[in-house]
Amino acid sequence: MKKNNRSAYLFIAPAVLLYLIFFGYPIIASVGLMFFDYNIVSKPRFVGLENIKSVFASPDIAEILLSSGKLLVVLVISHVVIGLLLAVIVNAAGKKMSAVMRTIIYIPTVLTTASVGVAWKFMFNTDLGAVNYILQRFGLEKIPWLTSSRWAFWAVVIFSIWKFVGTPFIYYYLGLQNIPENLYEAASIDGANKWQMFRKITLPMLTPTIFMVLILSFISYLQCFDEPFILTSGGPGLSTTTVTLQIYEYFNGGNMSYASILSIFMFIIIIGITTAQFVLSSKWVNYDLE
Amino acid sequence: MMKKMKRAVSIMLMAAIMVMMVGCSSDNSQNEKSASDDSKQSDVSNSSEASNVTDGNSEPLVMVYPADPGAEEKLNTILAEFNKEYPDIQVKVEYIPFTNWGDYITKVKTMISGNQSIDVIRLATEGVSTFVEEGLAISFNDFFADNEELLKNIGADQVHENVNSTFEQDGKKYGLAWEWNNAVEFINTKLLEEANLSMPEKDWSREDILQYAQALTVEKDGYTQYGIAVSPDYFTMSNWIYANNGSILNEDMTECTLNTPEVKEVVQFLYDLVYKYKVAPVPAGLDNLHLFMSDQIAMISYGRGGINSLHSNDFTTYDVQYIPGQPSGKIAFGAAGFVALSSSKQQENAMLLASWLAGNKSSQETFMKYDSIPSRIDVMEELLPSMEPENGEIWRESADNAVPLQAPSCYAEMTNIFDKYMTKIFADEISVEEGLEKATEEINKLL
Repeated sequence: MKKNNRSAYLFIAPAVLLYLIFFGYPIIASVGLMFFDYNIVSKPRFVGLENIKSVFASPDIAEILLSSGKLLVVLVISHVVIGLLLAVIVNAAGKKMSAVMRTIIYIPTVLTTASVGVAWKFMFNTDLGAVNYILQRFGLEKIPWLTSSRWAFWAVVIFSIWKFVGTPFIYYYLGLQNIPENLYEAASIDGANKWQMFRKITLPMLTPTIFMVLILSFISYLQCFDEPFILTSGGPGLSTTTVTLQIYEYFNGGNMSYASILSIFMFIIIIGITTAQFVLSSKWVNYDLE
Repeated sequence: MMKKMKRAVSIMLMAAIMVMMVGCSSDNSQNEKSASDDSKQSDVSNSSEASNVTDGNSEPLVMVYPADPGAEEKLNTILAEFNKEYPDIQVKVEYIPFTNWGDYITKVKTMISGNQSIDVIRLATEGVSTFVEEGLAISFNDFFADNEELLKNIGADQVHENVNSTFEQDGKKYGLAWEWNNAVEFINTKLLEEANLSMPEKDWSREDILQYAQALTVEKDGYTQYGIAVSPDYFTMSNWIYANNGSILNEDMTECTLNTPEVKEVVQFLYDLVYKYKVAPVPAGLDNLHLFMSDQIAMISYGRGGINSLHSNDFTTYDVQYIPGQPSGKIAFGAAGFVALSSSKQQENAMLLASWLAGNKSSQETFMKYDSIPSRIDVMEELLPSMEPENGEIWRESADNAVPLQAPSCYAEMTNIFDKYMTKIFADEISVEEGLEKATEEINKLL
């Protein structure tokens, strides 16, 4: 047994070593940098808790945390729910139609975010963009998508859903494909309608997939960067500035310590939320397929 | 057993943090110098490590340059010319993908911190203060004093004094300006003609530009053609503010002056163009040059670098004019040139390369034809009147009133605050007065 363990450890040693070098060491370094002033070229200067106090006492941090929190909640709920709805619709469609719809839904996911983001930025332009042109055609008022704090938030959400809903959709679609058909047949014989079948069979059987999508969405949208960076640069003001975008600004300004502080803060939040989700999952996730 | 393991892991983690902190410090002693440390700087430039000009040296000089489209080809041509004069000095160029100066500077600092050998870098106004304060750039004063004839042959004396002031700090010169840019008003001449308007005179006022904007704002086939665009970015706003004899910071950059009447007047005017007179679209971070080329905006404030896109797209129906107030006021500009690094082991050759690249006539003629404004007076006077736009000589004239963009070492954080409040003002979520007061307060805390 011991010999087997030794061999096993030897086999995983290269991967562990790579992980420690490229992930472990940077994380430890970030923890250390929290307590030092460091601008890359000069020697780090120990400042204790000063930088941590500065970051969390900054007048902007509350607004940034609020923006991040709002985006997180809306994006997670929308991706989880819309992804599921699309998967159910596509799963119920015929074979050919299903293939076409899958392609249409998934294509935005594979496009580069930067290029489509720039296109959406033009489309969201208040006076010259396509979105407002269409709205005006329907007799609606122009919306200041990118120049109003309120609407910039929704512009980011709309773009994010269009761009990234393909991923949860695919997970759900595969999950739906794995639900045994005989369950629906039995329910049909017992007189269940579509809604009852969805509530009593589809949803419970999909809980592992929903759980996975929730975990991945939380982790992903806690670190939301691409959408606000490309569409709004975090503005107007700080209305769409996320914590990750702020980390980028600190890094860009050469303030490694502040960037590290926020990074470790995010790390703790992500670990905390993920752990809580795993603990709570036993109450609602059903792994029994029979 | 578990307790012992936990203690061992904790000790190892702490040791790892300490080792990391020691490891992060550069072992390059030049990085600990401050800009005010005169004796150490001159010691370095006269040290035995610095080789004399034109001494044969087997190590190539390493130059870092932004990976702009077409840069490699042009730079190879110019370096080939450099090597005709100095065959013993080989140059290796490392191209860095460029998105903005902040990213570029961080990348260069990371390379320096990683003990990568770099001798010369291209640097702009936005980074000079940082590099000087952190002791990364070396003073050219001794080099210029010892090589007057050489510099005259290069043509360094032709570099406009005002433009070169970007590279001067506390009486020391840290390089030569190669190119520079300000913002002027690009005007669509086709739309002017359609509105029966002639090109405005150079001394036109804000009232004049408003009248032009009103005449040029028309409804066309379901969309609005706007007379003018407002760009609330730091660079463009500096030009409008300077033209009104205002400034963003005081002269020694220790205090913010955004709440002065001169600044409020200009920002209010620009705000009114959007919301009161409705002759400008709400600024939304788009590149106005594309809207200008598609005849959707008649006038935009832009730098000469824009003529590259205009030329590539065969767009010729435009001309340029000063921003109102510029001819009699000050004109904000940013410049770029080449800086020699304190970590260089061939400082004399590095300074020679930096000076040659910046001051050489063909270098400027090659790179600046459809790009920023060349820094040499003779090149400006030959090139600008000979090519589009018709009124291009205002760029040469504007050099005489040019004042460097204010870029202290906390430039990145300062512009973040500036952008935050400008976007709020132009999103109509905060009044001009309140926005400028709050920006002043925050920037003063930073300074």
